[in-house]
Amino acid sequence: MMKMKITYAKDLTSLVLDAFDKAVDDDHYLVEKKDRSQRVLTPDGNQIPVNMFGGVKKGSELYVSNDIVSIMNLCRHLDEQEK
Amino acid sequence: MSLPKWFKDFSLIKVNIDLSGLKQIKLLSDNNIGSGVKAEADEHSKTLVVKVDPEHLKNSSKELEEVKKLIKLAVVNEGGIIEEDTEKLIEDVSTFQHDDENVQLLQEVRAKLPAKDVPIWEAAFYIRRVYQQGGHIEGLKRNIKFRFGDRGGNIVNLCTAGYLEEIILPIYNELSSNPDFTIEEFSAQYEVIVTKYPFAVFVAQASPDSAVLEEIKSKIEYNKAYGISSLNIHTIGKDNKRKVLAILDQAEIKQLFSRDPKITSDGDVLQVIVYF
Repeated sequence: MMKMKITYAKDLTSLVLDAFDKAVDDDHYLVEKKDRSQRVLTPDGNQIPVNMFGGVKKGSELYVSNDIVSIMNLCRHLDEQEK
Repeated sequence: MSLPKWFKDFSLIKVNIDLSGLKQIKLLSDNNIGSGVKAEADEHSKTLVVKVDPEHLKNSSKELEEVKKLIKLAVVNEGGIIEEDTEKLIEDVSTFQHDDENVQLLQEVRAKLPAKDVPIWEAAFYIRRVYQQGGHIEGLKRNIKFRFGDRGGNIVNLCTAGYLEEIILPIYNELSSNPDFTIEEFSAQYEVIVTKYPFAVFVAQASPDSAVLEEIKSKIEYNKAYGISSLNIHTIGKDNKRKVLAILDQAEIKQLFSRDPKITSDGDVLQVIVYF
């Protein structure tokens, strides 16, 4: 069955981050709220500047960076999951 | 009314129309709703718009917790919650990755070019397609430069100008047809191309006139030393076109040419071939 599409407006980024107990450090990267020394990573291991945060996918919370290479890796990952 | 089961726990989000087969939930910001949360449904498009007022939510912990719960359950039950523009990008990239022409080209790149550059080339193919369709590529190019530095930016420029198919792959094919071919032989030439691209100058908005002038002069010298007698200059945008044409009109550079440059202009895109 096709999954429902759920989107949020860019200006609600901090609300979405807050829902997952994430914060933004002084260098504008996503970090764990409970341990601000721990940066949040994309599935391909990259840190995420808040202006490139693109949402959260299922897969024990998979954090999305909207840079084009991360998106390409994500699409491939989702394709493989569907197979 | 038929909302997803997980959605029925929400006391603040009430919808009184039939939304069976709900396709989309949009979470939007609106500071004129008079409360922390307000839902509006469009039965025709099967879309539920949940408007939230972040300022109002600061003073209403019940509403804030409900919206946060909605966001978390969206991921658990529906596969994710994605920022609007990122969702469009994901859909477009997914379609692009299944395009036969792209699949074939990517296979060729995987087989012939260094593995570390394959993700950059794949992204560059997508950026080239956006460019060819008249879309904006500056943000995408910035992404690549942020992650891969100048090498990433160079590869995007080379790809957009068609140099992969015109120069890089033909060099590989020519060299590899030799029985004594070694990959190191190709890699040496490839590295020069992606780091120095001696056959081309890409003029960006931020390039000062003096830097462009020096780059053209030094690449003419470099090419001459290898017996090459032409150089391509690429740019996009009205101001950049004016800048390039003004630089090429300077006596200092004109004296290096053996004949008049070949100028091709298509809308905001300019390509000049200079001969020496």
